[in-house]
Amino acid sequence: MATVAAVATFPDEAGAWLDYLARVTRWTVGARCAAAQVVAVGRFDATTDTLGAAEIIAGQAVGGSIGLVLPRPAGAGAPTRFPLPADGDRTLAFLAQRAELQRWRPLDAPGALVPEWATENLDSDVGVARWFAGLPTDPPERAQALATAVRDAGAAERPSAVRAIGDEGLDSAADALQEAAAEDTTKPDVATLAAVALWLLGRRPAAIEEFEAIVRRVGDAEFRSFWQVQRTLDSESPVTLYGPDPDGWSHS
Amino acid sequence: MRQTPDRFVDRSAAEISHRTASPAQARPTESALLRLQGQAGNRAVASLVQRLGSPGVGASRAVGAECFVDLPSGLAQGLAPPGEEEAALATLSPSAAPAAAHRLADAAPVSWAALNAVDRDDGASAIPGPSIATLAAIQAAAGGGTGIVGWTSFPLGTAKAPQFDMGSVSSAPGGMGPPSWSSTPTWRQHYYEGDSVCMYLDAGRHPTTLTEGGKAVFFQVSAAISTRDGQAEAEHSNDIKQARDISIKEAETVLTDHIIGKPFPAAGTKAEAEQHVLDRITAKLTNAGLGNDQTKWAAIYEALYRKTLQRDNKGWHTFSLGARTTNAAGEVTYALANGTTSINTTASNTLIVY
Repeated sequence: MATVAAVATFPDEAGAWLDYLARVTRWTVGARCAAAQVVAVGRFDATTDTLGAAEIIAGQAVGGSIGLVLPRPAGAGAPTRFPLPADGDRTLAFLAQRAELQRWRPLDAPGALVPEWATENLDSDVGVARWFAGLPTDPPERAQALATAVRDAGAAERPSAVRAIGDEGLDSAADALQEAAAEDTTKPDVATLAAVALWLLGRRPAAIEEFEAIVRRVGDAEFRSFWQVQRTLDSESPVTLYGPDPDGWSHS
Repeated sequence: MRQTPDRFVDRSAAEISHRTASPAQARPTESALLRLQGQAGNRAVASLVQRLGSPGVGASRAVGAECFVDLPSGLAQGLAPPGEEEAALATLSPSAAPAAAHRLADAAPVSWAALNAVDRDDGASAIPGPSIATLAAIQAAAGGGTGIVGWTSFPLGTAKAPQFDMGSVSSAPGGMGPPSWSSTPTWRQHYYEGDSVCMYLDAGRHPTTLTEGGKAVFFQVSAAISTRDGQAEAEHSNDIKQARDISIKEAETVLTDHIIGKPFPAAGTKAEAEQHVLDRITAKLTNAGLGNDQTKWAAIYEALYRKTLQRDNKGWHTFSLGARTTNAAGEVTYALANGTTSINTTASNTLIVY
């Protein structure tokens, strides 16, 4: 099958940008951990649809071999929400529910299954999943741990930490977001996510202010290019923008 | 041209049977057309009819999803009782219907000699090459899917692995001594690669099921993107053929050349006699991963052709939406761009392997 990647459109306005980015950056490794009942890593066996020699990173499941319930495309290949691993692929799996005895259904999210070839660094993703699974669950302690991670953690953990503060409404960690949004770097991912998290916390004027400052620092065209967003060729006002939609066409 | 619906080749009713004017006279035949149908499928017959054009000999026509091939008296000499005309009807399976519309619309007359001369591996394949189609036709064949711009279906439910009976018999020589077992395998079923459709997007401006702000959205496809789309679907088609070649077709070849009707050493038990057969299959295989268990061959074929999904999963067949424009009516048009496609970089025989 050949497909065309889904896009979402939105007007070139700060609030619309933040809504769009809140959606397309939703599924960090941490967010997938938070949504999954079981997180495991192992080697995929296509004959039995199982993760063999699986390490259980989070949740309650019997290790060793985890059965998966996977889509069976009728052709090459019906669209799926996540890439299907090939036989022998080492795979990080975020599993939503037990579909039947000893078999689990992947989360209904992009990145529910992460074969080695589908990510820049699977070991890094596994490390983030382990770190996230080990965070405190008590809200004040969790907010403190996430704020610390936003300030001091590595590049792999920071997006998950930033996003979790916004998703979980941990307002006491907002100062850390404000600092991250003001970072002057050439790669605006963490700063943008911090502005998005402020937006999700309901601190909308601050989020818009930080967002517009980021765009000014990076440059309008460069910022759009970083997020793979394009301008329509026509002279509408406001200009319609369009960018990748990881949720696929049904969500556009 | 005559239509003789009561004279037809019906794969669903029997393996390879032939019916003449009187059903009571039905008998096996070795005709090339029937052999082609049995080995490569109904769609191969239809494809052949379209591909070979010999004006003035015989006649054919497309009727819905069926293709009639009438053969004049004389050309079918030796295949039917004297004075009877032969007719063959290739009935397409429902799963092949979308492609049939492309393949049968221009069915052409064909000579019996041409049918006899055809090599079944020379393009007369049930797994087709890509056909050009509209976006609506492609997405209908795929069962829906807004982002689908090319489609190759799997031969689910129609493929068959070759099957044989061991033909094991015992004999006790003169009532003295232990019984001796021997096997002389016979055919139970020939392989059939199954029906598939393979479609790619025509160049032009295609309406989609999308809307933006209540306005219709179109995909603009250039000739270059259309060609690339066709190449992508051809990769899937070739992958399925590669899977066929190293599984069910290899099994058929081994059975034909080394097993069916061949003598095997006698043994003291039935199991030992049949082990001789299985050992010879193992010894003659090119791909050891196929194994000698005929109950697993169909599943192995499917597991192999499903490896073609890697091309989709890895984004090798994923186009992107490039320039977006609107017209005075507010309709939105996106031009398809190459996206993350990577085509003609990984050959079927490196992707579809054990």
